[in-house]
Amino acid sequence: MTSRRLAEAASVLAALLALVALEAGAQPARRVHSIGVLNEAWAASHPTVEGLKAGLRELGLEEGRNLKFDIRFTEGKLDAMPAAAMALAKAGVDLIVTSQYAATQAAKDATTRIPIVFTLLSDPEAAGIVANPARPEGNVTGVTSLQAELVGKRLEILKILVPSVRRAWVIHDASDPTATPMVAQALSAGPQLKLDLVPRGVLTPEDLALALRSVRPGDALLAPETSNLDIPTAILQTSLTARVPAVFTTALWVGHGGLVSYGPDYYAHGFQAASLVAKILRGARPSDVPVEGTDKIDLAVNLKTADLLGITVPRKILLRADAFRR
Amino acid sequence: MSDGEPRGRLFRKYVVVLLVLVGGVLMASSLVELYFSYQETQRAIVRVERAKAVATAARIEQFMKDIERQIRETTQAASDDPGATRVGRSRMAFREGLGVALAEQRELDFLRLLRNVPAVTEISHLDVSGREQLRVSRLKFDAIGSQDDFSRAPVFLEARTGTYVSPVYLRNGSEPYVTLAVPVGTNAVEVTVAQINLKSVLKLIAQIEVGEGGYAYVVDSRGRLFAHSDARLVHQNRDLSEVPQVKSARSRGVAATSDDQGLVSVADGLQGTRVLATHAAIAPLGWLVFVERPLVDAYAPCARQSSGAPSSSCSVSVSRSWPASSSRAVWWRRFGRCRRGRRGSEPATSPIASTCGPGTSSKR
Repeated sequence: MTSRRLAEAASVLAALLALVALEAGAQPARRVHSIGVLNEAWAASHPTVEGLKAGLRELGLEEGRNLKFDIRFTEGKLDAMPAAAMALAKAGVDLIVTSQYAATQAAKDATTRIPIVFTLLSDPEAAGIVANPARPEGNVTGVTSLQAELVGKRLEILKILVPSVRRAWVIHDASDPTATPMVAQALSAGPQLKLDLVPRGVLTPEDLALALRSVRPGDALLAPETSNLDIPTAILQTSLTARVPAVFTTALWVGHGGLVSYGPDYYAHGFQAASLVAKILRGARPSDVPVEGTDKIDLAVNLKTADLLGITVPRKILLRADAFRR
Repeated sequence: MSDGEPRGRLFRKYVVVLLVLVGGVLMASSLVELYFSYQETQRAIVRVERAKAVATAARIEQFMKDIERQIRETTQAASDDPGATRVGRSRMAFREGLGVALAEQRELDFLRLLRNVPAVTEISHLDVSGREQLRVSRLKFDAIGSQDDFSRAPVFLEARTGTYVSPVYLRNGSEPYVTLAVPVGTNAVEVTVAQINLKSVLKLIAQIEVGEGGYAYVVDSRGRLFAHSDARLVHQNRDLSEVPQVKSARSRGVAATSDDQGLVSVADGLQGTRVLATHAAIAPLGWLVFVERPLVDAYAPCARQSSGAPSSSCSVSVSRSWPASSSRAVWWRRFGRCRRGRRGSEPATSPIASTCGPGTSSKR
């Protein structure tokens, strides 16, 4: 009698457990999205990537919870880019976030299926990445860095900071098509600022060294955005050793001793890209997400370098600056 | 046996009459309830849509007002300073000095404004004769004393008497901008002109949750679309001034009314489907915020109710059809929810969520 009751109770319990299990099984499994990151950076913790992570966290997508990252950085080596892009595509990531031209082009070549969100790309139209930024076709969209558009402003700031400058070198990566509109903008800004602009495309470290050897006291340098050949670092070193002012594309370089920068804040840029990434992960097609221009443009000044170069930073620049390095 | 037949017929008659009566009454009550439920659902949807439109319009208006206030605070007019008249002997010299000082101050003020208000990308100052004396920009060259002539431009002529808001224009094909100009001084009026990035408005519109198939958009004073839930439509900058709901809203003027009458219409939506359209005006700017939901979507609860399907979620069918046993539990749950919702929806603040409807809850 007791054993039968026990058996009945056990079966009821089993049935209940089975129901609970079924109910639990009916809950949709939490999806873990996998994001591939491809850039020319020297470390996985590039400010754009950190900004991206922070932005996604704010939108409810957190690394370790419902998101995982596969970060591939090529330490400035552009020839390593296609292989890294292929590897990411093969790894089966849900989306690839790229920075700058080489990574974006490599990712675009590697896949036509996986959505790509680019960052820090100056002019996607000129680079042939998207034909219509307002309505991107295919699997690519992103946030532009407005670098070409800001060249004039960058030179203007240089001129305000160092009015005596007469000649500025525009040293750029000759293999980067986004440099072409940047050079054109610089050349067109020259006459208005009474600046003699000298564009110099470089393909090898020797070219770069040769170009930098031509820089004379009283000249200035305009750094490109690319990491290829480590051009900005070479410009920074020349600027500090030859005591010539140099203007950079982002505050990162001012942190390393660059005189002045005017351009997108990398962290904020990554943060902005996060909203595009989240939209796509939640079902939008890349072609439904228009290309955006960068939201936050910062002016950063290194007062220590200004001292070193014997420059008195005018009030206009001080008032405008978002960041100082003392 | 012979008595049995008429009695049987009578019984059948009773049954038939009873069935017809009961059935008829039930049918009539169902129809009446269906009608009221239809009306109630429509009103509820309209209330929610309108509330969203009004709230968004208020936020956009506040955004623009804040910017306008900060622009007005930047500086005073050079020739309009009362201090200038108090100086006797060297009035001219003083005025000149004051002019220079104010010009310097203005430049600093403009730089401060650019730092504090990210939406302002460019700000310039036009003197009494409409010539540009100062321009400070995030993207383009700054200019001091460019003397560019704006004396015949609407931005100068209209801003002398009050705030001027230009039609919205697109930069780089997808980013909406507006020119806002305010008068400076009272006697000899100068003008401060700012270019404002409306990305924040796009973000506000994208945040509105209008259920599946619903959308929100904003048109400027000319009736051109510049913000839409679907960002792809922004770059088209479509002229919607001839779209019936926009036309009627514009013809009513943009004066804000608390009365919902006439602010709602059934019309063809931007995608061609029939929609329930409601709007709210941003009076000082002449802009209109529209919220539209597909009609089918909006009336889905009643359509399902009238079909009498077992999955119907409204109370009217309870008395008539007992659902298929497999969905009984689900059905009871829905029924319960529906009853609770109907009780709670009288002065409802969020009636859609509480009415027996499809996924219309508002996400905040």
